[in-house]
Amino acid sequence: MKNVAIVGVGIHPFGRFDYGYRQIGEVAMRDCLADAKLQPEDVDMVLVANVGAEMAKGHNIVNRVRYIGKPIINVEAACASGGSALSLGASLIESGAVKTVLCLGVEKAPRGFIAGAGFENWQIESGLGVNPLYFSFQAQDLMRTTDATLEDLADVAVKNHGHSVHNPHAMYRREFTRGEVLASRPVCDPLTLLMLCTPNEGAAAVALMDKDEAAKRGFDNSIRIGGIGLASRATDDWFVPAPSLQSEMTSISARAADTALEQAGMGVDDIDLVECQDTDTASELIAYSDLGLCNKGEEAELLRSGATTLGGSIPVNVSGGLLSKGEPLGASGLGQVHELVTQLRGTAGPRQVKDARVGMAHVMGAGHNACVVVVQR
Amino acid sequence: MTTTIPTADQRYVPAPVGEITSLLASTCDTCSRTHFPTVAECPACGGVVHETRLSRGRLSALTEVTAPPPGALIEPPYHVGITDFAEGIRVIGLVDGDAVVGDEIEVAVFEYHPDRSTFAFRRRTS
Repeated sequence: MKNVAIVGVGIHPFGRFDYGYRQIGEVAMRDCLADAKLQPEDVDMVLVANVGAEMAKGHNIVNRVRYIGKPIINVEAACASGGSALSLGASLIESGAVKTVLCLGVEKAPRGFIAGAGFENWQIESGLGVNPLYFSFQAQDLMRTTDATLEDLADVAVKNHGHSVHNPHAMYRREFTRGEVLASRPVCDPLTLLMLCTPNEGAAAVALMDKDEAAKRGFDNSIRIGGIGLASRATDDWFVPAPSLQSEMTSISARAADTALEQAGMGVDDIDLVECQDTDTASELIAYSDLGLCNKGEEAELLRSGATTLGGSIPVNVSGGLLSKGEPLGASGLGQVHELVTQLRGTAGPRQVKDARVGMAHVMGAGHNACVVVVQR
Repeated sequence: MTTTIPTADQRYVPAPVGEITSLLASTCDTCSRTHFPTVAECPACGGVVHETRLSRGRLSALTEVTAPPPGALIEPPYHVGITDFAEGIRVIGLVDGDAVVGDEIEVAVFEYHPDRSTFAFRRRTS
């Protein structure tokens, strides 16, 4: 991908709020337009990522800002909704069909377990339709097939919550000790409450523009999308809501990462920081090998080495990750891109990754699907 | 219409509650993958499938659900596990009784609500 610049980003903090998704989305959209110094009427298309709101949700948000009269398209792909919107927008710009696209992700998720994750009725009624079950099975497989321990699972949460104290947009902004994580309420063995992210509310927006158009019109085009890998379930992948899996599995995230890096003409060694899908702490460890940060079986060692902590060689989730921010499904992927852009601009304050030039964002979710985005300066 | 679509009810061979049963699965004649529940054709390669019955396996993962999931009729707490079958497939299901990871498993009909039954994994007795 050669021609897509990110000319602005916006966010509405992630958390719980006493107003609706429309207002939440509006805040992120206005924040993004202001950041880009872009007028709403200059946008050729708005792509709105959301999972659970209602009919024509994007229209209901954009209409609060301006009647733009341009296409507004709502995009849904579970946890990869934001990545899917970004992929569509970038592809349309790359193709020359449009010059400027605003991607907006928004969610106002109810408290508790996510409903409607795609399980069949027999799974739901008999109690199999609950996401943490599947996360716990992945965690058990990881502990069975590698040297990862319960303490490692706790330490991912310790690390990400440690990062979160510096992120004003995170829902939880305090440090937790390993003991606190292990002693929190058991959800599905081996996962405790503090090893799982919470579905919540929030919004994030990314303004994309053709890089030459941006230069012509005086926008800062120094931050580019290097590549986007978007993948859906292939033969031997497995995730929610599938009731069975093949004994020999493949990784959807690995394929998405390969595509994104190939498009960017880069190797994983070129990446300076990663925001990954830490739905639960085992998922982050699994992502380390899926994304190529280490070999299979070396996930826990990479964590223990400190490499993935702020100040390490490949910091992961310096925003605090979903564990600290919470996961507003439609907004989570674009929230990651917001963090990467903030880092690449060098304006991340106490959580700044030194000399960050290339970032990778990764989401995966129900269905299932995955999206990996490489952003570069 | 040349394809027979299986109904969603055919997940296991009908049997009285508490009795042993088999899961109904499909195995591909071309790529040999087994799929559960049954499929009209192989979603991996498009090949023709034949019915396979999964009856004995080994429990490879086990966890407990303690809070009621949305829409569930089963009362928590209850146990869920993965059983690995020799056919190269791992199936997620309720666990009946005190089976632990590593146990040889049989499949039985399990009543989790006065109006609802499903398959469950339990430690093999036979």
